Amino acid sequence: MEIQENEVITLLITAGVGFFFTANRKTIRTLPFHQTLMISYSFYLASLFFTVLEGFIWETVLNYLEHISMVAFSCTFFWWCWQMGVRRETSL
Amino acid sequence: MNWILLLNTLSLFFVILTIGVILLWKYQQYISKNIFSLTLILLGLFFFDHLCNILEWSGIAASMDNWEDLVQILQPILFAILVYTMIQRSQTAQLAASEAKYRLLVDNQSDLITKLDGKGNFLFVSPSYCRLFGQDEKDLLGQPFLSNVSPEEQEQIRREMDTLYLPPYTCRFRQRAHTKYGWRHLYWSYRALLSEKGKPIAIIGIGRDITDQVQAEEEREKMVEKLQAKNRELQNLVYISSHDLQSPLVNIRGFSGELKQSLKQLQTVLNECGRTQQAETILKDISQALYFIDSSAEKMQTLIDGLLKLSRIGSMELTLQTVHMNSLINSIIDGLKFQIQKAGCEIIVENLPPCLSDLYQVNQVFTNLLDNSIKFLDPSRPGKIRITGQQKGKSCEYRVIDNGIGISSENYEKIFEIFHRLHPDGPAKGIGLGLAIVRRILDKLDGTIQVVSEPGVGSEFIVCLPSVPPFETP
Repeated sequence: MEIQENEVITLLITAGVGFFFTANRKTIRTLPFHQTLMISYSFYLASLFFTVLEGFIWETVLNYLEHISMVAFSCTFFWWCWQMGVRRETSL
Repeated sequence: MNWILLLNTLSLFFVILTIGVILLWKYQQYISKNIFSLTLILLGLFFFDHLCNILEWSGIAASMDNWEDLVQILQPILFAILVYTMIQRSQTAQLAASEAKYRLLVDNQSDLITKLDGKGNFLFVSPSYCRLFGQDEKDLLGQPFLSNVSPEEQEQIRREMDTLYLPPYTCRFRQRAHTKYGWRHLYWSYRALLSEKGKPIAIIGIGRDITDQVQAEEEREKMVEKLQAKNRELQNLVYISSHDLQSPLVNIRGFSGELKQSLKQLQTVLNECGRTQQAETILKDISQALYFIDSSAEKMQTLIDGLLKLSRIGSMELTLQTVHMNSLINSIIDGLKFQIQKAGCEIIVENLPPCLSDLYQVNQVFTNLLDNSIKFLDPSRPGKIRITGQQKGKSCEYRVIDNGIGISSENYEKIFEIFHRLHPDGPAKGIGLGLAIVRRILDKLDGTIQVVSEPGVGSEFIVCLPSVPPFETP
């Protein structure tokens, strides 16, 4: 398995966005269900990280981990959307 | 079994479920269209990504790497845009909620709230202000604040407002303003808003309609003036009537003395001529009538003197000075030596603080109190009178404590009434004016008097007088 450039670029962009989220965590805390959303994003970042890493070591294991992380991301993002749909708090 | 394919299918399943949930968002009014669209696009990208993976892993379709690459790069970017938009919307919503909260407070405020610029023109007026002046907000904004102020007060208010540019950057004043309901009295409290450099940039004013209060104050003042006039009139009446009653009384007493003399002469003449039984009876009757006229006139004289004394208290001029109470009480005791010796009582004077009062009037107060205590001592036990004093804040409290016959609690107030005597048939002489004079004097001296007593045990008169300010203490 070889390293794909687009995967590295995507990881870098995702990590950059993650850094943006960390830097603005105080503001992000004001968002409804921000914890679910950030957990979901962490799974997405992990998935991309495993994608890149599998080019170097443990290809099969990390490939599984990549897809498991993606399932976890999809699941938690769904949960966030669900929470957003049923909440009755401030408008967004 | 291809686990990767299964995991991809599971991911796709969740993405489809999420798209379903997102579509339901459409019916939720509290999620904006922007967020809805961004989330939908993001999910669309994930849907495409997972679908490509499934097709690729299942071998149904060839790799769509180019499109997939683009989609994967767009995913985090769109994610960031989504979160950023949500932050913006959240902050706007919070701001709107906060503004609504404060707007609710301002809109339902009965006090008037205004914001003025440096020139005194309106930047903001509360609905209560608009209601009072019967004008719309848009008509008032930009108008000078002074336009609704009565012309004669404008200059003074301008001067007051000038003080806002100096520390403490506040001012308060009353004004008359022409409102929808006519001329009203308003009370304003202004505060200047300062820039970071400490320069006033705007002025916030809170006003209150105090017309009712002002009217009540005016009525009260008129009433007080009326009462004072009535009081003066009454005092004059008492003074003039008691003064004018003196002259006929002097005549009565004088002519009764003449009659006594004439009666004596008549007795001598009759003695020389030889008395008859009838003449004897007539002389006895005349003598008795003259005695009653004389004693009544004497009593009337005492009452008139008392009334005159009482009426003079109201108009007396006070000379405030430091009164050294110990020397004053000692001089009073010297003056009452005869009564003290006659009563056989012991008087103990403790160390008394000086007070700031009128020497003559304080002398009168304590003379009356001591005289009273001596008069009403219990003859069944040795009399003892103790005078104590202490400073309590801005006043001095003096106590005249005796072991006399005492007063029952229902009579505590009655003893200070004019011409009121608790024991009219008792051995003590008097007309019931002593304590009335004491209270009247103390009212005039900004003092107070209280009594605590128990029949058969004794009485305690507590007199409070203003103390000497620290710098005047000798």
